Amino acid sequence: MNAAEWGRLIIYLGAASAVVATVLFALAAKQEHWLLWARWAYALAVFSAVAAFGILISLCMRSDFRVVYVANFSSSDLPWYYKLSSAWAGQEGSFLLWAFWTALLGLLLIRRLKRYEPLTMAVYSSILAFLMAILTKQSPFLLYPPSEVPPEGMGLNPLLQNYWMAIHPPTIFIGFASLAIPFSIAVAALLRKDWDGWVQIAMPFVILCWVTLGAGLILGGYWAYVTLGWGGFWGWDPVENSSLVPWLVITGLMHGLVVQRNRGGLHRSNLLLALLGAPLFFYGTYMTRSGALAESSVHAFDALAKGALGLVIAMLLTYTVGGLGLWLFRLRSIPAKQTAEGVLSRDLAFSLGIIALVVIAGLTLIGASMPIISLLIAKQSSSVEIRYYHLANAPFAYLMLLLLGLVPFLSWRKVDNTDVFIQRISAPWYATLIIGLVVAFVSYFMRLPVAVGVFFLMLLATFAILSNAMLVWRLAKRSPMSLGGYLTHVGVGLVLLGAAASTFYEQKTEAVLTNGMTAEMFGFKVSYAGMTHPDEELGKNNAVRLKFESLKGDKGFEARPVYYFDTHNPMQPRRVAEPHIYKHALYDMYIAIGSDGGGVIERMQDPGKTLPIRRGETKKMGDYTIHFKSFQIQGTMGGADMSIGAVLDVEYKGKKTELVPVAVFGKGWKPARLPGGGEVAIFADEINANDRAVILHFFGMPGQTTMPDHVIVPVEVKLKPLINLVWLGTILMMLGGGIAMRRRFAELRQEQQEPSAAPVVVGKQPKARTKPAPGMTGGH
Amino acid sequence: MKKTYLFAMGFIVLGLFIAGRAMIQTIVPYVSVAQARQSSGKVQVKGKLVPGSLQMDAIQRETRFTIEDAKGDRLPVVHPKLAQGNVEQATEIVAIGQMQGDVFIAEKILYKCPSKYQGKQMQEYQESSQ
Repeated sequence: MNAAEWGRLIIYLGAASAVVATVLFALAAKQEHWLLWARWAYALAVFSAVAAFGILISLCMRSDFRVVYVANFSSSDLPWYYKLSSAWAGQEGSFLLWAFWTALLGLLLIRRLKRYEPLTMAVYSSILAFLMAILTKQSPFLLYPPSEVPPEGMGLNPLLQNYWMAIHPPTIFIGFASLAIPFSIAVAALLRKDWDGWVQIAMPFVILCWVTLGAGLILGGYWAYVTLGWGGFWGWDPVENSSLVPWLVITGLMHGLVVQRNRGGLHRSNLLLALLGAPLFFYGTYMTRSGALAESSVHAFDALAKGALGLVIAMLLTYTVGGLGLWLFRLRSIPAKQTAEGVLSRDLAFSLGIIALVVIAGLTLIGASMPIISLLIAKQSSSVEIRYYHLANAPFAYLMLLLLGLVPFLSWRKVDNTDVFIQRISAPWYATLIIGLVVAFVSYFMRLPVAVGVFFLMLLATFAILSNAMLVWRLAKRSPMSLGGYLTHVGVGLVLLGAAASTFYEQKTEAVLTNGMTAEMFGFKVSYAGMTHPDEELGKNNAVRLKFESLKGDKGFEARPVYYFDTHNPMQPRRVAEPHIYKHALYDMYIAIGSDGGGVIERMQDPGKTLPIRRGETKKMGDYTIHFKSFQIQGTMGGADMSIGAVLDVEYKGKKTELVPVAVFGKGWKPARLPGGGEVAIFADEINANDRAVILHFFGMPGQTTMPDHVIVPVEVKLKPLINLVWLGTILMMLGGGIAMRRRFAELRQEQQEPSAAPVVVGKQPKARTKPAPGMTGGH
Repeated sequence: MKKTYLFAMGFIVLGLFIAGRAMIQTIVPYVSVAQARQSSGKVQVKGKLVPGSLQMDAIQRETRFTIEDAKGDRLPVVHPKLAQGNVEQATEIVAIGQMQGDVFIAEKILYKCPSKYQGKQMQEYQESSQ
């Protein structure tokens, strides 16, 4: 048996042992002696998932093209790190990655569960069982029949050959996998009717989920920004939405748990949110991988194999119906405690914030599901434009930012004195107002575009940044462990401020460059300086060299946007284009070939048939008699928009026509169509103003098909102000999340060391807890 | 208790109202070529690229092509920019825009290639918009 066959077998073993673990953990909830057996079964499932993933990685690293998956996503010429990342580049590999993380996170989880272990792990193992079962139906270990083994693989999609993309899936899948943790704990809590005990255990894991999912989203966005060339980092794409929605729900849950811990309350909504995260991601998985959207859009994954898809649907239904059903069944017995005691209280701010987050998640979900919803309701599929997400979510984003700015000055319960509150809040409030006035003033005098909504968003974001930054500053010395939340909020404000500014104040110029022509863009003189590897034509790793010379006498630079043809499949050479990003502290200059990173470079081999002609002259070319009547000049003389046309009287087979081929300075040329087929063109660098002469180029005349030796490079440059705030903000968010996570794990560890919280723990050494002894179940 | 619920309900109603308004403004139905010719607003048309009809004009910054829908009706499309990626190999194109006379002006096009990469990214991000 070779490694791939072992892999298939191990997946079956993993699915079986996860099912067994589910049953045994469930039994252990009633009879403790099953617990040890359940753990062994779970350990076997973990071993299987890890071993299967290890085998897939080793097959990818060894370029074993007998395996269909490896041949589809890898090739022998890739460097080792891209061979590694081809292990999760495909459908099957990404499911295995999901199962791998689920299995491993279970090991981290099981140590902290104590009396929650049997029920939580029963639910958790069942999710692992589903994932392994899906992999038996959609296996990454299928082999080619020996006669059909390809000599070389198809290679990794060139757009995925990027280090951000190499680390994005492993990160985000930790997040996806960890969504199962709050779900499992909440189910256990509902079954045990323990309305408060679960919060302490769930808290650090919820933050872990938030950080990893968030980091994954950010890495994906950064990858899109630097390689895709569409100019943005977020596109409200179905795949992005299917991760954003659970992340927002988890964000709400994280805040709800803080309220419950501090004030007692929100029992019902916290359980509900914990039960929603994982099913929402299952739904996203179904939407993006089922082909459900493919009916109405081409904007989705290839469909999963039928059996695997059935299992995804079964998984979605099981956990949605099971979780919500259990919640509804228990709803009457869950305590409902009023927490908010005053309008100016942190309790109320948190509750409102959670509602805002959940509403944003819901509206995003509705938008993303529109093709399916409209098909069901109106029998005609429709989808929403990106604008929908902005219009629908904006009011709630405003509310959220306002709350972010207020929270640092609110205390739990209510503020005793409104005057004190107003006094505390005045510094960031006035600072924001002054900044707002300055921006409004500058916008007015610089004639920048104005939109009330965007301005309002930026103002609120500034307020949120300032008030949280103030508190971070104060807390930094006193209790650095408690500033995680505020630091994250500074980050959120920065991300939204940067996103609004870089999108709304974006400026764009386009030009078409040819040999020896220049264009003016954002204070630079831009010219085409050939390819980086001219002798390889448009071969791999080629890039366009664009010279940017400053008009103000500053230092210039050379932009090298990637542009080549990927020829792994010689029948279908793929154009690969990536933008060049010129970084400045205050803005990014986003330089792409063509529009949105695509576009064409036309390379012309043959100058065509040339005919030098002076104004007033009449000459013959083939069947044409040409009289050069006059020049036609448009635009300002010597300006960027100047174009020169040559007005020609062309006689062809006794018929006279007037033709005007035009050369646009710095931009290219517009040929004129000849009667009888073909084109005639003039080029700006060949116009001789002193002699009043041009050179006419004739193309596509009988016996001649090629175009002239001119390269046309369409260049698009976008100036994105303040985009760096987005990246700075994301770093602060992750840093803040990391601090909060450390704090909550430390708290959990400490609380579990106290005898009251975990009665069966032996000793106080951390070592003693690494292997939870059987018999720690209790609780019944 | 009651108050909290009322409050939450109020929020949800407000949310649905705003979403409904946004939805009405931004929803774009998928239609056939025949329906597109009758339409006055923005629609999405899906069809196969008619072989040989694709023209990319670097000077005019335009992509022109003809699509054929499932019923065999053909529609000439002008996309007022250079399309991204491998549109020439597209098997299926979704054009989003409106009719202008006999021509469909597509402000955005999405297309699916007979991709050798069956993973997500290829098909997901092949789009070009104004």
